[in-house]
Amino acid sequence: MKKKLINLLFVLPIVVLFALFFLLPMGLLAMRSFGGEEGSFTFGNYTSIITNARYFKALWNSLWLSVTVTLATLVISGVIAFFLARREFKGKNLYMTLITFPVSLPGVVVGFMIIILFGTTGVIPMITRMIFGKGYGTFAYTITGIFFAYLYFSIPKTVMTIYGSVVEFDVRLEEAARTVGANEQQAIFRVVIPTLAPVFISASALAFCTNMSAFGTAFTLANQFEIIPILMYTEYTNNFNISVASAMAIFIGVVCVVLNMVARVLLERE
Amino acid sequence: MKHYNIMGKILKILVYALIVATTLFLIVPIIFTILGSFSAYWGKTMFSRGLTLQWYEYVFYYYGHTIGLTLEITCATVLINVLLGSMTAYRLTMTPNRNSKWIKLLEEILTLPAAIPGIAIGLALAQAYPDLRRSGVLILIGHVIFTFPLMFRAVTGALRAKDFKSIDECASTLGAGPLRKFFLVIMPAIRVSVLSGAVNTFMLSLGEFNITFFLYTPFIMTLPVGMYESYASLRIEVGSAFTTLFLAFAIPLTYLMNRLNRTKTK
Repeated sequence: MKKKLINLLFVLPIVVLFALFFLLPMGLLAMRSFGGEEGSFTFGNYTSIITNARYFKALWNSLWLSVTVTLATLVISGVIAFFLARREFKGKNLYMTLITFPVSLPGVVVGFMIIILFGTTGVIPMITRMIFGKGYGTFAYTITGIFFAYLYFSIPKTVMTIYGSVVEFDVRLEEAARTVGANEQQAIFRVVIPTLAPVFISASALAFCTNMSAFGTAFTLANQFEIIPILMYTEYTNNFNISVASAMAIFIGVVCVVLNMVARVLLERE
Repeated sequence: MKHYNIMGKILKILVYALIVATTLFLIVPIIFTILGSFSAYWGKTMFSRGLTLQWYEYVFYYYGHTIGLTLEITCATVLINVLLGSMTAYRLTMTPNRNSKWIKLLEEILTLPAAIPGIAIGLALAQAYPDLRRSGVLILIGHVIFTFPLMFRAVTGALRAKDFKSIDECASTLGAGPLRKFFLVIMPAIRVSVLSGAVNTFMLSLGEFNITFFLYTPFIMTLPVGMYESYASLRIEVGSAFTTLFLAFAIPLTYLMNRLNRTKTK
């Protein structure tokens, strides 16, 4: 009896904490998102994301920004991960620590890194001024800035995911391809990449979800540029449109949970 | 065949160019942030007016309180989650019916905060408990919920890697109760995983912005929120000094984390 009680005590605190401060608030948020005027039930807050021109613009911006960043990340990270997995060189450990370090930076700091690179006194304008006499590349506070900022935090994470799976890849398959006459590039494109496709898809699913929901980075750079996370914040704080803000939060939440599940299933099958 | 060789060479050059460009893109801004924090005036050139420490004095004077508060919240988050995460993971792994659907469901819920965007959790907490905002306790709770999956997964992974069930039963046969078993047998055996989970939790909590931004008040402000404010309204030199202070925590912690991961895989 006493033993059972102590066993219960091991799990009970976290169950209570999650019930009160996770499930209940998320439930209330979901209820809020279906609330119309005078407490009626409505899908209006969700449909307004598509019917309201300003909301739809933000959704559109978020979607194509996330898609382009994800695709660019996949190509760049894929190349770097293959390079790291297949080449031995001095200082490789140090190099990997360096390029994966940005993973631990908060979103706001990533935004600041872009200001350092592409701001009015940034590194790129400074260098171009030295060479051409005129500063180029001051786009930190535009959509291009946000694009590079998202790349900045997406690349290290994706490199880590792909690197792990390339290292574990069964080299015998590739060797078999080489024996029957394929060169290195053919072997990579015809054998390695198709086999690792699930890893690439799950890495992109995760990158896409991070890009859709990133807030701090975009907020640092362009809090007037409308994407869904920023619009959600403005609707909540400036316009007191809490039901619409809740619907947007639930929408991003569901997209991310589903993509995370897809990524996990694919990685587990691998 | 010759045609193919030229193509291959061009491809190789492109690959190397891409790697060099990406590396510079990731590393250069960090270096310039640190350099810029010592610049007296960062205008068209960086050190035209020499070096200074005045921006650090400025940050300590106006934002010193954010550093103390952040360390309090972060340390409390780590302590709570080391305890709760290990306890929960231990109990759920040792349960005889650990593959039952109820346990599975509980595990799913407990790891869910890792998948849900911070802004959704932040908005949900801000709406549900507006009265708890002023004391700052809501920020702590938000951080605990948000980082729990990390610790829980780290410990569950460590407990499943070896046959801890028989070790646990063995300790029972020798007369150890649940508390004794947990603190004197299990925890020492998985200490490297717990420590690496703790360092990870520390990093995540230290830099947390998205949840905190919905929960802070001007009197209860964390370091990332303070950094955001300095980026938005102050000189770039101040932002650089503030960021460099953050890096002074983040760089040693990353180093420690890499060391721990290497010991774990050994």
